[in-house]
Amino acid sequence: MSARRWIWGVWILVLSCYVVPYALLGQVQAWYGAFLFWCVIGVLVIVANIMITRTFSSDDAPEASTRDDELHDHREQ
Amino acid sequence: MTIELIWGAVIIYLIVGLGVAVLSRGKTTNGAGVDMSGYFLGNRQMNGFVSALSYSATTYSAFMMVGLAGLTYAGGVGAFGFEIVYFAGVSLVAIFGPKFWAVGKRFGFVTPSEMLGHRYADNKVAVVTAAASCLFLIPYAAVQLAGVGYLLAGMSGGAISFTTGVVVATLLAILFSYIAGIRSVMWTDSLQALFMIIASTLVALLVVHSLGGFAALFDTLATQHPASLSVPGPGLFSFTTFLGLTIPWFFFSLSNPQVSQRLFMPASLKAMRQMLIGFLIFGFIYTVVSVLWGFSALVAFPDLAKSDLATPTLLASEHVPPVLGVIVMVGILAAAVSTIDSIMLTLSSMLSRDVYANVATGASEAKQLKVGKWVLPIIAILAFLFAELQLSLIAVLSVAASTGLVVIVPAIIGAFYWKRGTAAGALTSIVVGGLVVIALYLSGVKPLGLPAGIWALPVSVVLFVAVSLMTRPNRESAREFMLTAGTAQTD
Repeated sequence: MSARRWIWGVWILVLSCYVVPYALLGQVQAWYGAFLFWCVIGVLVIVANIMITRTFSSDDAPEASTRDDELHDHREQ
Repeated sequence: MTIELIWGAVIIYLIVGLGVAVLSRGKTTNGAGVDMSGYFLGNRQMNGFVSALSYSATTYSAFMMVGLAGLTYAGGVGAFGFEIVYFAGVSLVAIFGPKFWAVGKRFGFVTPSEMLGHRYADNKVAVVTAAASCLFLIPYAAVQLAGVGYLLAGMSGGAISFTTGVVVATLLAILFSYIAGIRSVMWTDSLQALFMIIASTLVALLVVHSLGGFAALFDTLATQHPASLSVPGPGLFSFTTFLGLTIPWFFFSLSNPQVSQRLFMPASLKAMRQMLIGFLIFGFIYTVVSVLWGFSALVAFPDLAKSDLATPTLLASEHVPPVLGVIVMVGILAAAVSTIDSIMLTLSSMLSRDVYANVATGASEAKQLKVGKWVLPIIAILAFLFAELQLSLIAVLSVAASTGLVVIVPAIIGAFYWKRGTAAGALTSIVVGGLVVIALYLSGVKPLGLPAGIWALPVSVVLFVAVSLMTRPNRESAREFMLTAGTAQTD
């Protein structure tokens, strides 16, 4: 799954932080209600961020340097 | 808890912290040719592990162990949801981090406000962003200082005065940030972060154990305080309040310069990744622990007069041995100081880079650095005076800080993604948006029944877009900036 899809995954997680506890779990007054739900969201946010950033490398951002070169080329023209 | 024990712990903390700060001195921050980027950004060479711990200590202030525990005590599990939405918002670092990093490296930005001034080709944008940051963050730092004053006074039963507590925190913050700039901030932050997480987790486990374990804790909550396990729960977290709190905090990682400036610093994107993931793991544990404190206090002491007393009462109770209580007190002190010193360092870099350098045009890097180092203690003294005076306006500005700073977000997102955005649009959205937030907080007015936290972002977005469309953008600076950030294509 691409980074872009994982980013969309984060937006869905954020939206569910509002919808699920307020609309669906309002009557569940136990640990397995909103508390567990937000715990799971927290863990999924960590997983999503690991996946979004997995192409971050120790070299200078290849994407940025490529565009840098393009910019220089453009200026020379 | 004896006064000797409290002072002993504070002095040990001071000595160890100072030792680490002095050891952190290096060529980049204290050498002969040190410049703005060296002192304030560690020469953009910070490693991932230290960055992660420092980012955590800077983000999480004394609010967590005192305020969030209190919010959980009063409002139940909704407080946890509020923090989790903020936590999810830090994912913005994964999206915007590489872009900040790339443009920072290419154009030599030291501050996020300088970045906006360059992107919109107008120094006034940088000046106004820096001024707005000072307006909201100095009062925020002042309230943190006051929190340390209350903490030490409360835990010593008044033997240590409020003023002594505030002086101690101010001095620590000045020393930790002055000795080696960002390096001493980051290294002391790292030490403090480890201390914060270990001490708070230990106490949470101990207290939960003495209350019969996790199952017993949640069983008691379910039978005696069932509303605390759902939202809106006891009433504090109505849906509109929840929205009003969470929207500004979701954008914290972009709107608050003391953390967004960190995006210029990692040595590589790999280091940035380590910073982000390390922070998320730290933040998740710290959030759960702070919420458990609040729940534990609710079970152990259900009749407290004020929810802010949840943590002090818990620490002073038989559930926590005095030595551990004093260790956590130092942990809370560390949490406050590590936030204040980062704010002070960032604000001083903004005032010298974005205000002084724009007024005294042609000021050299060395001169800017000199001014920045002078401004640092001045900001600290200002925050100290605000903390001592305890003016109601300061309290209002502090509470409004997260909402007030969110008005900068449209200009930041627009800088990377909307080439049509203009300086006039950015200026209007920040100035008018900021004034609207202050007016709403001061008057207490809630248009359509919605709090300022909900209004701030749409108001500033509309202003940014509308005024930008009415004015002429600087296409060349937008193009150059967005090409570097990777958000525009070459023609």
